[in-house]
Amino acid sequence: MTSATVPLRAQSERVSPTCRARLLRLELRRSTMIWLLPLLGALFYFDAFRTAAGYPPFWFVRSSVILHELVPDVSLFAAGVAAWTGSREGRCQTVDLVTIAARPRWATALASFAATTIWTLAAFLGCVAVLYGFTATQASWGGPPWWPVAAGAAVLCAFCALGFAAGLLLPGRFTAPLAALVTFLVFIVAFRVVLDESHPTFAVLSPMNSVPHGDAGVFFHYFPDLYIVQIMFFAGIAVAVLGGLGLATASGSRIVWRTAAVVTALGLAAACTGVGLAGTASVEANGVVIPAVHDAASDRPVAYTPVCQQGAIPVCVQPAFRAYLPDLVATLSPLIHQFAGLPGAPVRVEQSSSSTTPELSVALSATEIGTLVGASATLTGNPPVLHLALTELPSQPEPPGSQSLAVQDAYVDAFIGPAGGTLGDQAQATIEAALLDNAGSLPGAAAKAANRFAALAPSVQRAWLATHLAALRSGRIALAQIP
Amino acid sequence: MNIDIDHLTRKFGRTQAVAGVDLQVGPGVFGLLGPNGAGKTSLLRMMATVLQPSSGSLRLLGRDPHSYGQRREIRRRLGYLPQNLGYYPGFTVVEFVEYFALLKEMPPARIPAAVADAVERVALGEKARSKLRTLSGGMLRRVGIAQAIVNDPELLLLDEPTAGLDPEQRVQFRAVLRELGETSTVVVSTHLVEDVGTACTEVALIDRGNIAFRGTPDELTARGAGHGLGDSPLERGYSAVLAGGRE
Repeated sequence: MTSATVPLRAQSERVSPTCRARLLRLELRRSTMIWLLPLLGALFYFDAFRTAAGYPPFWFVRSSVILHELVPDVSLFAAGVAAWTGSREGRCQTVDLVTIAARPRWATALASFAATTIWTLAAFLGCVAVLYGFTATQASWGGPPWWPVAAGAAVLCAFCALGFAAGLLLPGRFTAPLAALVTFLVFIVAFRVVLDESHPTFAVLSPMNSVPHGDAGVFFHYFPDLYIVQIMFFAGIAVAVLGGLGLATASGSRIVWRTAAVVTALGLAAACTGVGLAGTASVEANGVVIPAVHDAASDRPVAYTPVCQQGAIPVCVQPAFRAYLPDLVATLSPLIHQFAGLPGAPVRVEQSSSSTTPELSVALSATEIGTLVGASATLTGNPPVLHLALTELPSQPEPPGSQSLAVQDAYVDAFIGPAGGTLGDQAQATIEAALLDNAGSLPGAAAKAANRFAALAPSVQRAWLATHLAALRSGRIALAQIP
Repeated sequence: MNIDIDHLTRKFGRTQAVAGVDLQVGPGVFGLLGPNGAGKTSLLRMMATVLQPSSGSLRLLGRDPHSYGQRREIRRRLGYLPQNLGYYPGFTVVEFVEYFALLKEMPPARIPAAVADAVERVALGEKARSKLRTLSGGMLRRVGIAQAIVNDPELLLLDEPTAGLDPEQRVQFRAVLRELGETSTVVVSTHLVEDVGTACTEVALIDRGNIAFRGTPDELTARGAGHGLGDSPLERGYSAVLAGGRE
């Protein structure tokens, strides 16, 4: 007969950290995210990496793909996998077993969440390491910016938390694809379009809008203001969502409920503070400034020793542009020789930041891919120094000798053209064209081609246009192809 | 008493699943018999602290499961095998059992040996490293039993534990039950009377949410004397009690 009571056996009262670590290790070993790592690697290579490889080898420019390409790509999968993991108990019908375990369900859920998030962040940081490693082999100055990486990690944590919460609270086999789809729509629609047009505060918070200024990290320190606020906002969302899960699964535990309430409140406070600070953001010449988190020291220009190459006159660039210097000298040499000895001719060429150079020259668009294609210049001081701003650069320097219309035009325009950045008169334009023609630049070749085409009979012109109009409009016709 | 139930009820909407059960159970193997829908699983789930009772009182291992702290203490000492065992297909047998050992907050140093022991006790040593998705239904049932006994529970609740097991495995499992019953309170909910006859020291027969009979298997067998329905003496006792209660 069953009449006695079995004396209770002693059990450990405290939950050992080793226990938590073993649970996390088990979750890490069996995380679904592992299966998606090869896919994420391929996606990174074909999207973010190839995009970055097309940019000049400047740390900050290359790092822009982290928030623009890499984070959206990883977020889709992270949210989906997190939802899949969160819905595991419901899908696999282990809710009863997990519910009656001594360990609070919140703690169990956090271990599953942590495993998914750790793999997500590992994949993300691995991609960043490849990107920065590749950039390190090409960049000649500066170092990797870490604020975009931190902001990206915060965004991923937020989407992991949201996906996981969706899976835990609404378990089902369709929760995961729905979470991924919603994440995709948030990035494509909300972050890119809707918020940008209707809610400027949220547009600032959008990771897709963190476009770095071209000179940031080169001539000016990059402002971490925007990244700090984004981290507050997204980390706050992640913490609040995880705290909310604690409230939903507390099941009578006051300690769990109170802890979860505090965590939720802290997360909400951080997210709301982020929104509030984003409302005070202003776009300045060198980036987004948020007064409450702005460091005045970052307003000062970056100190550097220019790298110069001595030709007829010294041509100097910021060290980050060292690789472009031979190309630049080769481009300017024909003009420097033409102007040598003339009154007011520059005695030195110095590179300046694009945001501090007055727009003296006509803004030039890219005319030839693969060369120094965008530039503006101004001539100041006595003896005169030409300050040249390079605004568009190829991903790799061209060998010396490749000519750039933009750089040469900016140089000639600064020397011959009127002061104040206005368009020159016909005489100035004619002389400029002649000088550029002497230097072997494109205007002369273009003029010759124009003369050639004008000499054709109208019927021949029409026939050629009828055949080549589409290619001409799309910019696929070279000068030499013009009859 | 390790289980002390006083006038326990549970309603699901208008359906009265458990209708005022009084039950006291000490160490040993206790069988819960009854037809489908009698309220066995609901009663077991309340004992497992999965379900909250609608009314009545319930004390487990001398503790009140209403209080979170005491409930947690009960849960550390509890083993439970649900009727429909869920599992994670990507986990191996050892990982699955270890996972629940960790959730039961066992001392970490004890876990590896306890997991190995539990897996051996259900005769799954050779499949210890196999993924759960590769196991048969009977093997999965044994994995469920292993996770239930891994923490050497003082209160073990098993809902249809022998469902899906072949005859040889059932015999082995009944031996395990008897062994566990020497130190713990084991409650087995089943509709297979042979499980009760060979493994249980005491049995309760539930019908329509109430206990219709409580006694030893021999006493239940005695109730069946002269009753024609059933292949074995125990089955005849079972049928006789049910028929008597419904008259």
